[in-house]
Parts: sequence; C-alpha cells; structure tokens
Amino acid sequence: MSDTSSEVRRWIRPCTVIWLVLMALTLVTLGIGKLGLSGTGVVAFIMTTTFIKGQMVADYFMGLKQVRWSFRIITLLYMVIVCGLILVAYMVGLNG
Amino acid sequence: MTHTANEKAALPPGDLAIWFFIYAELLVFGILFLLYAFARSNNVELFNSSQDLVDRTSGAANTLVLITSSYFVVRAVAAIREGKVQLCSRWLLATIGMGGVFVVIKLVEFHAKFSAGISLSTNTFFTYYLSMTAFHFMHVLLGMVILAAVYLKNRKGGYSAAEHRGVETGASYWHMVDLVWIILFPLVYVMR
Amino acid sequence: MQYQSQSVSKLYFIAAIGLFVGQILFGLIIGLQYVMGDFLFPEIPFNVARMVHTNLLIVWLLFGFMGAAYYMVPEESERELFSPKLAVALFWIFLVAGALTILGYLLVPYATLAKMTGNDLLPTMGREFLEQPTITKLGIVVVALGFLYNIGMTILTGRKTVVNIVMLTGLVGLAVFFLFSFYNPANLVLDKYYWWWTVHLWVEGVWELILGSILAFVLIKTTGVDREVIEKWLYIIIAMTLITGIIGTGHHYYWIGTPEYWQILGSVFSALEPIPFFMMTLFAFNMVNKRRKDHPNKAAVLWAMGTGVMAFLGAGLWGFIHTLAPVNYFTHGTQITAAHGHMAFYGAYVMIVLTMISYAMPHLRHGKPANSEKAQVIEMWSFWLMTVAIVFITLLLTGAGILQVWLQRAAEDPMPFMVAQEKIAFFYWAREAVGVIFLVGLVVYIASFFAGGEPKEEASS
Repeated sequence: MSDTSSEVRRWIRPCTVIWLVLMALTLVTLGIGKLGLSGTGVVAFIMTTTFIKGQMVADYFMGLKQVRWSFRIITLLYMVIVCGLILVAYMVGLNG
Repeated sequence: MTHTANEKAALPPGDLAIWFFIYAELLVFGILFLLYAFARSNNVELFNSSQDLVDRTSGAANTLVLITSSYFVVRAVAAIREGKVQLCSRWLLATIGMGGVFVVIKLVEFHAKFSAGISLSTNTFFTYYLSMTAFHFMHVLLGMVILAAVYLKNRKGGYSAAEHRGVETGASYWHMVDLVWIILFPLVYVMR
Repeated sequence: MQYQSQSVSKLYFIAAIGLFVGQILFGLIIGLQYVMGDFLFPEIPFNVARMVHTNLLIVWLLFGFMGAAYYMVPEESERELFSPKLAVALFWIFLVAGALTILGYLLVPYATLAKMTGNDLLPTMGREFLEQPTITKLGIVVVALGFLYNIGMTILTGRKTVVNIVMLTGLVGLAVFFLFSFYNPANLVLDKYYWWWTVHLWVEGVWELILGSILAFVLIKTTGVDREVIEKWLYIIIAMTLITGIIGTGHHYYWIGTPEYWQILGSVFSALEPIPFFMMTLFAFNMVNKRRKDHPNKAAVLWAMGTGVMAFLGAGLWGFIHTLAPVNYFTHGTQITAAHGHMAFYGAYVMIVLTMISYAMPHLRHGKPANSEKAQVIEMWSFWLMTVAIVFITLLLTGAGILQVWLQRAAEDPMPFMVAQEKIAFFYWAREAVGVIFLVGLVVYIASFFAGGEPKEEASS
C-alpha cells in the first residue's frame, strides 16, 4: 500500500508544477493578446507554447508518460500536425 | 493498473473505448481548427478586425478555469488510487464546480455577443468563432455529465484502490475537453 | 424464444418481407421507366411508382423495427410484453392503413387523393417521402404512440438494459421527428429546412440508435461476449452518431436558400458521419472475433457482419464522396445521390432488419436457435445475391452520376438534362438487369423459409 502511495505522490507533484506552469503560460498568452502583438515571431511563439501546453496535459494530466509509445505518439502527432498546420496557415496569411 | 516506474503500461488510463472516442473528438476539433486557420489566411483583415470584438479576458479566464479543473481531476484520480474515496469525491465535485464556472463565463460571453447583434451569419470569423466555442461548450456539458455519473457511483462506494477504471475514464475525457480549449483559446482569441 | 408475447413480432416480420417484395417490384418498374419512359403509362406513371417504391421501403422498415422491438424488448426486460393484444391490434391498423394509402396512390390521381382525404384542412401532402395523406400521417402517429406506450411500459417495469434504453430513445426520437411532417410552411426554404428534420434526423440520427441497439442485441446473443463490453461500444457509437449527425443535417442545406454558414458546418460534421459507422464495423468484427461460442445460426451472424460493412460503405463512404459543399455543388441531386441512397438504405437498415429476422425467426417458428443447415445455406446465398446486386447497382449509378455531372454540369458546353440522360442510358439498362438479380436474391431469401430440414440446437460449448 505504501508503495502505491509513494507512486501516486511521484505523479501528483509534477502535476502541481505543470498546473502552475500552464496557468503562467496562459497569462503570457493573454498579455500578448492584450498588447495586440502580431507577426511571424509572435505567432510562432504562441504556437510553440500551445504545443508545449498540450503535451503537458497529455503526458502528465492524462498520464500518457506512463504509457507505451504506441499510444503516446497519437496525441504527440496530433499536436505536431495541428499546431504545425495552423502555423503554416498563419504564415500564408502574413505573406499574402 | 500498478506498474513500476520504468515499466510502461500497454494501454492508456481508463477504458480503451473512451480513447477511441477521444481520438474521434480530437479529429473533429482538429479539422475545425485547420479550417478556421486556412479560412483566415484568405481573409486576414476581416478576421483581425472581428477578433477585436471578442472578449480575450473571459477567454483567458476560462482557460485558467479549465486547466485548474483538469488539475483537480488529476487529484481525484490520485485520491482513488490510494483508496481515499471521500477525498476523490471532493476533488470530483471541485472539478464539476469549475466546469460550472466555465459554463457561466461562457454564457455571459455568448449573451454579450448575441445582444450585440452578432450571429452565425455576421461573417466567416463569427461563423467559426460561435460554432467552435458552442461545440466545445457542449463538450464541457457532456464532460460534466460524465463526471457527475462518476461522482454518484463513487459516493455509493463503486470505486476503490483496486478498481477505479471509471474515474480514470471520466478524467481522460475531461482532459481532452481541456486540451482542445488550450488550442482553441490562442487560435481564436489571441493570434493575429 | 423465452417469452410467449415475443411471438407478435412474427406478424410484423412477415408483413415487412411482403412489403419488401412490393418495394422491389416497383423498383424494377421505375428502373425500366428510366429507359422506357412510357412503360405502364398511364396506369402507373413514374412519379407514382417512385412514391410507392420509397414509401413501401419506409413502411416495411418501420414494420421491421417494430417487430424487432417486440422481439427484443421482452427478452431484455425479462418480462412479457405489456400488452400483446395492443401489439396485434396496432399491427392490423398499420397494415390496413398502409395498404389503403398505397392503393390510393395507385388507383386515383394524387390530387384527387388529396381532395378525398381532406388535405385542405391541414395541408401536409406533396412532399417527397412525406406524400402520405394527412389522415394516414395521423394514423401513423396513433400507431406510434400506442407502440411507444406498449414498449415503454415493458421497458420501464422490467429490467433496464442499455440496449433497451437506446432502443427506446431511438423509437421516441423517431416519433418526435415525424411530427415535423405536419409542419408545412408556405415559405419553400423553411419547408425544406424542417422537412429534413424528419428525413435526415431519422436516417442519420435516431434510426442509427435503433440500428445500434439491434446490432448489439444480436451480437450479445450470438457471440456470448460480455454485455458490459458491448454496451460500452454502443455508448461510444451513439455519442459519435449524435455529435456528427445532428449538425451534419447542414449538408442538406447547401443550395436551398439557408444561410451560408451551413456550407461549413454541414461539410465538417457530415464528413465525420462515417466515423460512427466505421466504429460499428469494428464493433461487429471485434465482437465476432472475441466470441465465446459458435452460435449455430451462421446466417444471422453473416447478416450482422454484413450490416457493419455495408452500412459503412453505403452510408459512410458513399455519403462522404458528395457531402463536402464544393463537391456537392456539382453532384447535388444527381445519380450520385441515388447511388448513395440505395447502398445506405440497404446496408444500414434493410440489412439490420434482415439480421433481426434471421436471428428471431428460428426461435419464433421452431423454438430453436437456428434453422436447418439447408435453410441457412439458401439464406446465405440470398445474402450474397442481394448484397452483390446492390453493390453493382451502386457502382452503376455512381458511374451514371459521374457521367451526368460531367455532361450536364461540369463540361464547357453543358448538355440539357434529357440529352444527358440519353447518353447514360447504358448504365440504366445495366442497373435494371442487376435489379432483376436482386429480385432473384429476394425470392431465394423467401425460399429459405420453406427449405424445411431439422432445425439446429444450441451447440454445446
């Protein structure tokens, strides 16, 4: 029983940190929005943080870090493809 | 569900069936996001000027609310893994409560838009903005229903340290609702 | 058969098969009228024959669903039907009303029929698939209410299973959405808008719940897989059906005067409608692979797996090819739609009803789980004849549709409708020939009921 407990603890603590990081990143995103910043660099930055945020939810909150790659890779690929293509669409818009 | 630190589980937590559902849902949202992004690239001016009309603060507030609720449900799963049924119930209630906060903020936002005479037909931006956020809104409601069912079963003693797959299933679905919003918020409210 | 009252379903199944034969005969008539315009004119003009073909389809499927419910619900609820007498009475009311309506179509001009039945008081006639006289529509509502009362009382006072609840939800939805057939606004756009609430939300909404629950029931019975596993799949399939199907209604709203946003919503959500059908295919095959026993009724298992595959192909894939607004701009209302319609209705709804009949009939007729080997072999022949025939009908109509789109709409110098129709006559002739093979399959199917032989017992596992 103590074994499970320590294991659970090992999972909660990083999740608490992740939670705080996610909150901070969201505030940064809001700040960018409030300032009305735009441009390639800003869009790339937001998409990168979004990708990181998504991966943190998938790996830690959903607990996929403890699961074999065959499942973990599905959400990873999803985040890569969706964030990547959104970035592409914005680049097209900025240049056009 | 027990595994040592260096041995990976073969399957994700919760019922495998919910994962098929989660992947299908992610696909739906992914397609919507990309359609939005590419529709925008054809119409940057319109999207930028319309985006000024949405309430970024309430969008961000809802992001914070959902992230927090996701963290709460993590705590609920952790509690039941240790066999703490009561504690699990409390975290579940907190999660559902945060879902309720999201719903209220979102309704206020919708109300403001509709009062301002904005509808699905206003322009392409608002077609996407309203349909994506409304569609996500329905998922929050569905997630709350699922978590409420889990909560009720847990209160009747339906879950334990040994058997708590239902809690993990509900939690996984809820994280998906959060994950989707994490992309939706910067995409629709912020990026330009 | 565990409960005496399940036997009422036999009446419904027999009527369903009888009307099925009628539907196919009228299908062959209109198929021929495509290439020989004056065939049977003026006795049975094309518009009347088509109306009979589609109305019979709907009515016999409804008979099939009701029969399925009467068979399945007592067994799931673990009690006798609330009122077998009511079930029998409603059967005769529905059959006589249906027969009178069809005779009305055939014997008097449609306008006269409208006048005779008092359509002026509450005008609801004259719309595709909802051509029934207003009093027939009212009759349908009465039958539906009685049916729901009977089934609802059985379910609510018995054991409540997921399969039963899903079935009941589907049936209630079926009745509720039919009410939109009484709403007939003068504005043509509004008329079409709500017309789809009956038509689309039936076949791409609540009927899928009925389909899912019948499939789940037959799979529970024939594979011996745990109920919990099957129910879980059922939940997921239904959630996906509703998520995609409800907003997917938008794919009917493209060029009829509704707001433009439907092009986006309709395209996205209807494009995802194949997902629940694909899940259903996975579901059927997975459960059969995981089976704990070999059920002696191989024909029923074949129909069940066939439903999974053909529903996905017909409703899912063939729906998808013309559901996106930019594609539909060219294909709207062409033979592509007809191709999709034929395979979707056969693959999803005809096959699920035949699955249920195949599973239930040996119990109803012999009190045994399966027909004789000989009867099953004949039935499986009919499965392949009808299924292969519908695949070819679909492919031929798709060919006709592609050519039609090209000649009539996409080419630089588009042809008028009738000129284009003449150019694709070959496809229509071939379709008619395959249609005859379908009829042969149907005759073989009926013959399987008279094959005799010793019914099979439950295999000891």
